[in-house]
Amino acid sequence: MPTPLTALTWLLGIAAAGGLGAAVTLAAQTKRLRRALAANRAETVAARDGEHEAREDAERTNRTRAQFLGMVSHELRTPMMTLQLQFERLERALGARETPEHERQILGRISLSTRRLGEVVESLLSYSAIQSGRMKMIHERFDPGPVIEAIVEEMHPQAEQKGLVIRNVAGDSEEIETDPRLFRLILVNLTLNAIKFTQTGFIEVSALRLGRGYAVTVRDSGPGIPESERARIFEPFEQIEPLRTKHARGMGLGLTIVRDIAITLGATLQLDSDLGVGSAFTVIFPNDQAP
Amino acid sequence: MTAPARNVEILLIEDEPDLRADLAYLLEDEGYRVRTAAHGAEALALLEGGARPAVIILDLMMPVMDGWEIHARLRTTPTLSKIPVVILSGVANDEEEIAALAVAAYVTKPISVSQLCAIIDRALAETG
Repeated sequence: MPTPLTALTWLLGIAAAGGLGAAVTLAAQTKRLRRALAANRAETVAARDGEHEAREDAERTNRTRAQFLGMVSHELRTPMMTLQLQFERLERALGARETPEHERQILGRISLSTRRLGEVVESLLSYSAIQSGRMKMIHERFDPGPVIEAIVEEMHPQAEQKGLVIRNVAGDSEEIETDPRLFRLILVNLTLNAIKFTQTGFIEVSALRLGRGYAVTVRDSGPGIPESERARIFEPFEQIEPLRTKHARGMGLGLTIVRDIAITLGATLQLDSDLGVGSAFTVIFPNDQAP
Repeated sequence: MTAPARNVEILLIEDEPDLRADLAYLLEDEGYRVRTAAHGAEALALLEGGARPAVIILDLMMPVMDGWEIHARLRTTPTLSKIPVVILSGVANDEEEIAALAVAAYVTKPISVSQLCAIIDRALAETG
């Protein structure tokens, strides 16, 4: 098949027969065209290579990120467990003996700090897992009631320490179909968040059937969230208080994790808040099987 | 309340020396008999020497012979394939990978002794 370029060379031959001047012009034009086409072809090849390279780069980055996550996860979780086990050994050893009150208090503080550290590790790892797409979903039908009850139970000591009341206002009971682990993670983060930012009063967890959905609400008697801050608090590492003077601990990942998991599960997230009265975070899980 | 019958042998395969020692101590305190190995090859030597634990607790990331390899070898050895395996890993693998391992349980560190005991007892009950 004659390419445009060979056709042009052929035409050039005819033109050469017609006159030298025209032939020179045409020859020069052909040369330019040849160069342009060659450059163009090179560019196409480069672009194709570039695309390929970009894809390989992205794959490499994902692999590196997953490896990094696995490594960090292992390196953080293993000493966390060692710390917990050593604490438990110490507790068991001391259990049999009489221990001065102030030493017991020190032990209590070690235990609390260990748990806090555990929470930080857990939320960092959850956040990275979601970001890198490694948080896979499983679907299971289960009754969220006992899960909610267990979480409220777990949070009791932390709420009590701040003088807060935490209660489970048992609501509608029914099976929903979602990922139980991620359901738990959402609720743990919402209740921890509520405990963290509430200074007096209560935290209340309730569940409600809502048409073709199942709504779980964590309500608190905290300071409330100004309208202007309501979008920002869901962004990673953002907290209302300025970093240098903030009272609340934590990295500002809790609500980001909640939002991202909710999106993954096809759930919707609602925030109602009154300044000076409190806030209520509601997650509505889809429940197509609802009667 | 009756304590579960725990006078059984557990093989704990874990490379981290402190974690291995502390967990072995606490599991013995809970009434199990515990043997330990620092990696898959050491565990394999114990099993080839006739050790028959009722449950194996297995870490995944280990030097010399990692948890995936020893697990694969256990599964293809008829005399050892029936021993329930509880993976105790620092890595939270995704559900597909966990399902592919086909183990009695997969738990992520850190886990409390009481939670681990409950999992071990359930694995024991399931194998009878």
